[in-house]
Amino acid sequence: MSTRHHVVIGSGVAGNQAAETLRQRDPDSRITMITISRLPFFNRYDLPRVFYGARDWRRFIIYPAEYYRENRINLRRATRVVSVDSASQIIKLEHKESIRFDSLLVASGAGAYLPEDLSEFRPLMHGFGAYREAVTVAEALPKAGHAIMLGGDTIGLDLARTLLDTGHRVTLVAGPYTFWPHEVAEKDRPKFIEALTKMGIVVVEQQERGGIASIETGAKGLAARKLTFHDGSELAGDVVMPFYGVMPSLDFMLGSGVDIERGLLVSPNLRTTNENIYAAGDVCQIWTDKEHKYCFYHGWKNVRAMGELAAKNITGADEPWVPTQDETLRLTKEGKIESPFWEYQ
Amino acid sequence: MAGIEFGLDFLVDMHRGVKKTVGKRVAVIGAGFTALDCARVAVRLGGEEVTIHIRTSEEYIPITQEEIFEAKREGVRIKGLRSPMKFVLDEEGKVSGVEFAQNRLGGWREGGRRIAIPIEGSEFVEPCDTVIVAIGQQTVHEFSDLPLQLDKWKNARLSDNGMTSQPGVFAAGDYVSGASTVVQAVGHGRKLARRIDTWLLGRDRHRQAVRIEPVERPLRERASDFIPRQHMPTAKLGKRVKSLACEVETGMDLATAQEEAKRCYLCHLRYQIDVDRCIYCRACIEVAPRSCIKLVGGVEIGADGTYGKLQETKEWNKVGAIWIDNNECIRCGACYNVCPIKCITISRCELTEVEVEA
Repeated sequence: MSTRHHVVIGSGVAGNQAAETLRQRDPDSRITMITISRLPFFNRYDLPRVFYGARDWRRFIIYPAEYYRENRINLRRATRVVSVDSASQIIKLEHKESIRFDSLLVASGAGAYLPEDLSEFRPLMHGFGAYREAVTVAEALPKAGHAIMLGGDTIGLDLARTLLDTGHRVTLVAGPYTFWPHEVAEKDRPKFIEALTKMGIVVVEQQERGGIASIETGAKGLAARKLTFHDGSELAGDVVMPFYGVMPSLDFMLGSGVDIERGLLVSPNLRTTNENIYAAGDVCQIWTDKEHKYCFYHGWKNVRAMGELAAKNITGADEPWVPTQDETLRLTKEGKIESPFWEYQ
Repeated sequence: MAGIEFGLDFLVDMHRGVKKTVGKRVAVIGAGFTALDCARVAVRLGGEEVTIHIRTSEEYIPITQEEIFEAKREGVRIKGLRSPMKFVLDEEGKVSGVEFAQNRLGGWREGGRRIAIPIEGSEFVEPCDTVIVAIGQQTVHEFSDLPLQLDKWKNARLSDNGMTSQPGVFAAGDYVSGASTVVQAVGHGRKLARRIDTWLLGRDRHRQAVRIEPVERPLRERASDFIPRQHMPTAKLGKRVKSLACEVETGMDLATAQEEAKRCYLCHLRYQIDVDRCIYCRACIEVAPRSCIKLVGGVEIGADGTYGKLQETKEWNKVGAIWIDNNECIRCGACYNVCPIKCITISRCELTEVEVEA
């Protein structure tokens, strides 16, 4: 009987897929899943549905509490990991508890990246990564309200489709992140921008206006937010939402002894530089022999496959990572943008 | 080669008012404060894509997080895990890019830094219009023909009295320690001045002493532990990147500075319990926010008869004394305030100098 203690940090797609695979391959082990989220595994990709009136958090839950009980996964919600000691295989939690692990899978995902030059305006912006944030945006946006999206990225553009569909106006301040994580050639960019315009999005090129100078609260009786560009032009909207891609959530791994660049550096079998620690999902940079560099892989399908692979390798396999998702941004015959990252149903 | 600058020369030229220009895409190679300064100056000179290329990753470079954050706010990007291999030149001999090799992290270097190992066959080119190389500096000896003994880093080697291998020739600052900060150089200069004085006089003019004086009451409150670090105000982003003369850190106002100063632990204050008067009521132990007050059972005595560490005990029948561990003490004054017989004293200990009579 295995008495190994597998600890998974993160309860997103990668973490849950890994826990499921660990339970199948190592039935008698202990599995602990630690998440900072108050909600159990919820469907982040479904959050735009709050604009169709879905405001009950239960609507978004994928696995109920019973699932974790039945599978003997000890789910620790609303729990913050503050450090990991890879040498002594101990995780420290914010409330001073220490947890020893035999294997650790870091699947803590990534949070929205906000460029440093906009950080001082953070309190005036609305995020969209968690259920509570989604509800807050829905409440802040009046009927036929105006959302200003900064950056773009595929998460933002997905939300823009919903906002337009529900009768809201969307202005996109476009820049290098507009189609992130897709890599769009400079020559192809105009046709994708045109497709956004056809969708009904008002596109403003940030560079043409010299960048964003400030975001302020709107005057009484006017829209809630005023955005000013360096060329002096202004935009008024009910919410300002930044979409500049994501940044790995791995503060707790700093000083752990595991190698980090922007994400946790892992070999093709998803193992970090410590033999007992693996990583999966948006938090890791995977070495690719073909390209000779460490790469991030995003998207629901990739992340789920990473969770499964990491769990397999933790339990004795030694298989390399193979991307599972097409990452090409496409235009349909009707001229609509289609991103494979939106195929999460 | 056109389009290639050396970091320190670039900064010194700027400081001296030499007119400099950079291209739209600027590649800065290096991982220290000089590299960061070069990148931020390049932004002010109109560089639109300014990137610092480093061998390891942000976690291991010797720059403070605040500096990195401010540089990023100004638009500087940092790209890691790459070693420069060669410059790429266009047909006119002007730099058009830098060829890098992808790195992996290797073992550890002193000071918590990492070794970067280039991966064979992983070379790639980053296009750029200007390259600023800021990968370290060497001590300059050309101004002197004195045959000084140097250490393995080619810096002047000093004897204990601060003198070089040439009698009567002293050295200080970067010439001895290699590239460091102005603060360290000034400190070294002051120490060396005293050594020169001692050498000229033939004896020490001063000797160090500790001045101890009583303090009437605690000078710090427990609440000060919960004051967050006060942020240094900075100039508006739009204003600062358009000017080479605009100070970035604008300084704290009086109220903010006072709040920040309250966070000081006042380590020069020493709390002591007079064990002859103490009634061992435990009140001080109960109010102490940390394990700073200890019950002592005995003292380690070395083979040569010297006193060693204090031996703690939790058994009351073995307690020989009660003691405040000033390394743990946060000078909150809780013990002083609660003591029913006022057997706790506070003293201020300051290092000072006294004149030595001839």
